[in-house]
Amino acid sequence: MELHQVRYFLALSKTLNFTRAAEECNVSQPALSRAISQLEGELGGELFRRERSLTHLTDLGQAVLPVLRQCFEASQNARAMAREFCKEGHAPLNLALSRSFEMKFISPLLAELAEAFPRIEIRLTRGPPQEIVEKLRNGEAEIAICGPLPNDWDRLDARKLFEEQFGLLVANSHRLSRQNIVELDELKSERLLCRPYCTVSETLMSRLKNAGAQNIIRHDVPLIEDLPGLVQANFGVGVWPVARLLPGGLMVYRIQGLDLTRWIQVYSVAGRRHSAAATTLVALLRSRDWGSAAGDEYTAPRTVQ
Amino acid sequence: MSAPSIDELLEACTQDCMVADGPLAERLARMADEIRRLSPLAIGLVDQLVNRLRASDAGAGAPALGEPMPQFVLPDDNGRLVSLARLLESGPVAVSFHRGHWCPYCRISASTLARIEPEVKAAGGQLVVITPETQAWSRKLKAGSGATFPFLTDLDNGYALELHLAIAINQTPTLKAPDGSFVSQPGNGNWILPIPATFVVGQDGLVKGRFVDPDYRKRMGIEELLAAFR
Repeated sequence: MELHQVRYFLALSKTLNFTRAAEECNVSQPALSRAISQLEGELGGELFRRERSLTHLTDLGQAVLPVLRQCFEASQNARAMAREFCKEGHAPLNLALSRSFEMKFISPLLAELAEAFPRIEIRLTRGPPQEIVEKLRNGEAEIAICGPLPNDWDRLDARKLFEEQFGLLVANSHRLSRQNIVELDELKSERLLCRPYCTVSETLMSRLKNAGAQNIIRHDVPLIEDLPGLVQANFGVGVWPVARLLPGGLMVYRIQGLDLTRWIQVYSVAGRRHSAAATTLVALLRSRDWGSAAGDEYTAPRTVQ
Repeated sequence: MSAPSIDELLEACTQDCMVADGPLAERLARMADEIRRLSPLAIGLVDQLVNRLRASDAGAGAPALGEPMPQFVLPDDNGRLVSLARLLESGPVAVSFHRGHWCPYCRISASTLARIEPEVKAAGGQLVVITPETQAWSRKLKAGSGATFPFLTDLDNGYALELHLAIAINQTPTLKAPDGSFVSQPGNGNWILPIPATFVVGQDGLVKGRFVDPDYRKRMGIEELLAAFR
């Protein structure tokens, strides 16, 4: 495929009008028609059904539209990255993170980014999901790296990075720590320390309710850093990312038959012009081998002193 | 013991072709013959696709000899950004597009490039492989080849499209197996692939060696590649 053929295809799929698509692409209509025909030849089928006043995408056209759009955007991104690499210009980048997202996952990437953009200035913020959406919406954040955001805004562009595993956080002195496995039923009488808006805490709560637990005592603890101290004091039990470093006196358990996970994703706003620094960070995030970041080692109880 | 499956036979042939002596073209042809023997139906579809790509001059718009090679900055298999401009500061570069770790022809090609790495270095040159695959998979292709040069990730084939080398594949269900060519591409998830072209770029940024063939079973010959460095 030629780059311009794809560009014309995308314009025509939007306007569904050869004349207007040609205007938008700044070419003559015969040139646009010819390029579309060539693309159809290469793809082995018609992309548009040409009717006098009602040009529309064929099934093949519909099928290839999302991949061609993605590829075209990628080629614009690739150009921007090559063009801006190591330029001396000031490059501000506002980045929003989940409150529980661990910096160690991205610190090497930020260091790499700082080499590519010597004058980059990164402004980090953390917040709960709704606040992150708001920041993306009003432009206070260009990129967000976080767990799942509410999907009530269709301009959010989400890319999955890795699935983070969680386990049950209990104190070494807790009665459960004498066992090898923990059953869901055994938690019915526990006080649960939940982080508000944490999808994993919510999953655990709803599974407990489904299992017939009536009066679960729940405390809201917004900051993940506050959990270890409270759990060590046997104030309650909580959920904890399996790959996260544990302070002493604590253990992380797998709950029998219950996968506690969340997808860490990178979010941006579709259709907005992104800085080369943001584009580069997304490329570094998406190409990365996340392998052990997920916390694959979570089947066995684990203690870290 | 039960008879080996088609997958096992193809894997055995791939590994043979990776380590065997003889010209690259010969070993690629041997692989193609084995796929043709084991899976005539799949190869028929592949022939159809390649004929269509040839008829529509796919890849013809890629940079020609003497033309400037478009710049790139792409993450390598260690998450470092690699820029063509930086590479060219220390010498000419062969930029070789590969389809992915799942492609037997790419595995044979990558291991052959790894074999001539010392010769390329001795001539003051460098090698990079570009695939649309993310690190987890490009590392696999690299490890299998024994290469030490970087394997770069071209997300969603953006750079390939810039070079007019991206092709769309839309018959995935029928072409899936046992050719082995069109298994899923994690981290990409679509059916756009690069034509596995190779360019040798001089320090002036101009193309001084070029091989583009929409028949992905054919790759730049090693003699041709080495000659472009001299």
